[in-house]
Amino acid sequence: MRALDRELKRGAAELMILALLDAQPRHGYDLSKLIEARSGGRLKFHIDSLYPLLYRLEEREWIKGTWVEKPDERRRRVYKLTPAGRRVLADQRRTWDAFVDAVRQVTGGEHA
Amino acid sequence: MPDWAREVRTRLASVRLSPTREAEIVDELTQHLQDRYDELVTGGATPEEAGRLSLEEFQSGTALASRLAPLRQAHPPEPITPAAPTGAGLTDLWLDVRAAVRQFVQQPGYCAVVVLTLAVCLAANLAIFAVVDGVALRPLPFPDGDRLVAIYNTFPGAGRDVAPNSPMDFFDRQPLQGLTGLATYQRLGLTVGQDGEAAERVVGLSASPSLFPLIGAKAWRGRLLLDGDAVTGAEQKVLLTFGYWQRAFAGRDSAVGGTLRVNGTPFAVVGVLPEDWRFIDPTLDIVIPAAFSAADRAPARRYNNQNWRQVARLAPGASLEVLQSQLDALNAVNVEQAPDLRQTLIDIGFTTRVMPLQRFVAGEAAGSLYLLWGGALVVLLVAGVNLANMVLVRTAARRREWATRLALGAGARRLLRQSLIEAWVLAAAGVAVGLLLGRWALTLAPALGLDALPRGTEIAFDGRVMAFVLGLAIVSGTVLGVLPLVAHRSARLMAVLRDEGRTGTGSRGARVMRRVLASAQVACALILLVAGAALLTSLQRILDVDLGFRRDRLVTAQMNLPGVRYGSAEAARAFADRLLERVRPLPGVVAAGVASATPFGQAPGSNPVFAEGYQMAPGESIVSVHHVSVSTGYFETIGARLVAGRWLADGDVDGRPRVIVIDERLARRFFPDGNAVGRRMWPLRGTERMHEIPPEDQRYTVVGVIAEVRLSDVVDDPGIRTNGVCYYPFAQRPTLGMGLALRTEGDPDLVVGAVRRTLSELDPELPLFGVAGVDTLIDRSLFDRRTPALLAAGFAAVALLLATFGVYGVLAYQVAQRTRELGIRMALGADRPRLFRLVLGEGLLIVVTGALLGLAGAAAVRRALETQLYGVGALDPVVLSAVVGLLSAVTLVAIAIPAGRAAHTHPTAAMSDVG
Repeated sequence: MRALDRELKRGAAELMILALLDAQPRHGYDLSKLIEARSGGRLKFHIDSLYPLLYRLEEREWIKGTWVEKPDERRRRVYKLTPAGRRVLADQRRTWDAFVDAVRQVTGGEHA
Repeated sequence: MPDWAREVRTRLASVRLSPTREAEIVDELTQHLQDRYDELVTGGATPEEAGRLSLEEFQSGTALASRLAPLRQAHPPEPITPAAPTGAGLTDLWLDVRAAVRQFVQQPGYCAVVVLTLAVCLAANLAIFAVVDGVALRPLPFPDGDRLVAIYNTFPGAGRDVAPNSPMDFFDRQPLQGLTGLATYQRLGLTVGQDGEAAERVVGLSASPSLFPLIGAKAWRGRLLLDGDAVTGAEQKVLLTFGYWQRAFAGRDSAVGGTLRVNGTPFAVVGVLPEDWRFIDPTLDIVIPAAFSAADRAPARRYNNQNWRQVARLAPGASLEVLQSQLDALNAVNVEQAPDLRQTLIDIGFTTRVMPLQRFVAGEAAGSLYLLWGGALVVLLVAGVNLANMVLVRTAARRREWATRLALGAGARRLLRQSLIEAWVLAAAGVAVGLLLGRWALTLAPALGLDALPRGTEIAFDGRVMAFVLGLAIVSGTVLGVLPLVAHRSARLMAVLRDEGRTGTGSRGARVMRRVLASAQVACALILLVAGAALLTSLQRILDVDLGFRRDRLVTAQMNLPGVRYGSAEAARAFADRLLERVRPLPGVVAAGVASATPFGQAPGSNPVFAEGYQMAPGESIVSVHHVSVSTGYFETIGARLVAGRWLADGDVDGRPRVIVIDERLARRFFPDGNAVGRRMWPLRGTERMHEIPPEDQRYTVVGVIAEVRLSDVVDDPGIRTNGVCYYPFAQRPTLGMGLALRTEGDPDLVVGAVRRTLSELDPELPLFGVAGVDTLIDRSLFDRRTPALLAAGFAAVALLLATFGVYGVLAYQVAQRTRELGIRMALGADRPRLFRLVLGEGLLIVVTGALLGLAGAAAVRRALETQLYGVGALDPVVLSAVVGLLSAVTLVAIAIPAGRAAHTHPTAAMSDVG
């Protein structure tokens, strides 16, 4: 069961990051805080899982990071969703919904 | 405040990043830690606390490195170091080979399928290539053999696309600048004996002595033939081949200088040819000089006695085209010198052609061999696709192993090496088994009649054949070795450690690729099926051809009366009469007759023929027909069918009106009104008298018409079209060469034994040769049709089987991969028929696409195929529907099995395949 748990988490992490970037471009620290805040502290990303995940998504060309410098602010690497990433997100959302739905139907006992 | 950059760098130390990328990551993570630190400090933490808590953002000291390692950026291209150490190369190679062998020992099933598939395909290719090479590709065994050319005449108007030359042509063409040497020759059956020993029938070559320098021959004993030997009236000389010298003279040196009686005349033996000497026919026994008389050299006889083949050597710097244009010019001049023949030569389409000797010798056989070779390569291709799919599936299962190895620092080049070595190890095993199988297959060549092909005795398992098969094996192995890496590259192998490759259905590219490959397999199989079916149908049509006689229990045997003892027409006639008198009462003989040419026996003579009252249309060519002399009772013996008039009778003897029987083909040509009987015909008596109507006693009255009797082939060669046959009473036109036809009952061997005894009583020095049942002769004549048809059908069957496995494999793999999706569909309420239809539809798409491609392919090879067919088109609708029907039936089974499996997917599969 631990394996399933890990896989689910991994898929879920991707989905979450894509979903968060869907709304607007964000930098890494921003993402980690948002995930922690929105999950009510139940989910927390370590720096050594978050960034490798970002780089992996970037290598797959689902997201793209660029260095942005604003006056009076530190130089940051900001990630935004690519069109490919947008498609993957839509796809994953559907699959996820179908999967959750299917699991519910199977585990929810006989339906009418 | 800790030194963030140092903290990050320490954790990145074990990852191989490019310096720029490393700096970037350090920068980004430093920002993150700084943000966290600032936030904590702002929130009221002490600097020490904030520093500690910030560092807790790291899960561990090694997690960052291990998670970055699978990424592509952790594998920058290796810098090129000149003088990189290579010492360990061989050891590594050995280790890789051992690792590969160990893997395969653990997967004997996979290994056996790959090795056996490769072995069978390589063996088939080996056998076919050996034949193609021996017959058509291998250079002729003469020095500078590629400069040797064949020169031949052609008379398409008379039905001869390839005809030999006249003696006069030999003298005419010697001065041409485009050639440096010219020889003329003809193959002869000769009766040969030594004093005091029974005569035997041998294969002789009558050749101008210029042949030997031309093909670079040297004498093994004594000397070769010289120009001085080829003079009419001089003492006759003979040269022995090594084989005949061994057989007839037991290899004694005293043979040279001795005498040999050839057709009853003593010939002095001047020398022996070396053991490896080969020219045209490996069964040659003796060579005699071709001597031409002054009459042969008369320009008036230029177009007579066209029985001599020619071989020449191109002059240095001269091309085929140069020689061809010189021949054309020579012909043009000669035609102008014969004004009364000019129109006839034009109408008959007379030209002279030059062709590389190698191509000339291979002749018709090359066409069907190339087709078969193509077929064997296609089978290998189809099998290769199956193997590729197997390798891809196996690789998919190994992706984690590969990714882990990459993560542990194995370079991409190292993985490629491992993959190649694994494939090569399999290919090596395949080629080893394939060589054994192919070698064994080649030993069957004589049984298939392949040694009867031109240069058929040169078919061998040698270095060239080995090189070809090894080349094929290396190519196959390399493709199978590189393929997984290419597939990986597209599927982003480095990303494998996450879940993508597990839950999905494989990359879309790979899926489409597998379907396209399966379609290609179906297409290839269909092309081979079309070819195989067309060739088999053609063979069946040929077997159904009406031969014009009854082939059962018909035995023929050949004799050649030596001119020295049977010089007069009277002697030959008397011999035939006595022979038939003695043979007919023998037990087991139902009927007997003699003919100058029996079916599928000695070649009939041919000569143009003319008919009284027949008006040739402008531009119509004279036609050459076969002339056969037959004894009374001959037609009845072979079971010919009379269509009109009467048989030749006992009364049609010398001194009585001259009569002939003709066959329907000739009758249709000259007497389209259907009234051939009673009309008169005559053969050409020499080109100089072509337009004269001969005197009354040299014209022959047609007394009967018979159904066409096939004489030398069941169907015409493309290059030689039969125009018909004239049958003369043997009594009016006796010949020295004759065949005895016997309708037998009981054991034919006993009958033949009795006939032999009878003949030796009549003339002890006359050998009987070519004794065989006509059934056997016909079968032998059909080998060049039967063997290719059966081989092509075999290839087609194998290809169909392989393609079926291919389609099944693709669909089955897909169903297995999509279990989760199918489970979800099931859970969402899809019913079984719907899932069945889903897979069925995908399978049909593969098969229908393949079939359409295959039909297009068959249409593309149509022309090449049709040169090999008789009585059926390459795209015959009946044959095509049968083939497509077979393909559909077999592939439907292959589709139905995975489709059925899909329909029985359980909804819980949606869960089980996730982790």
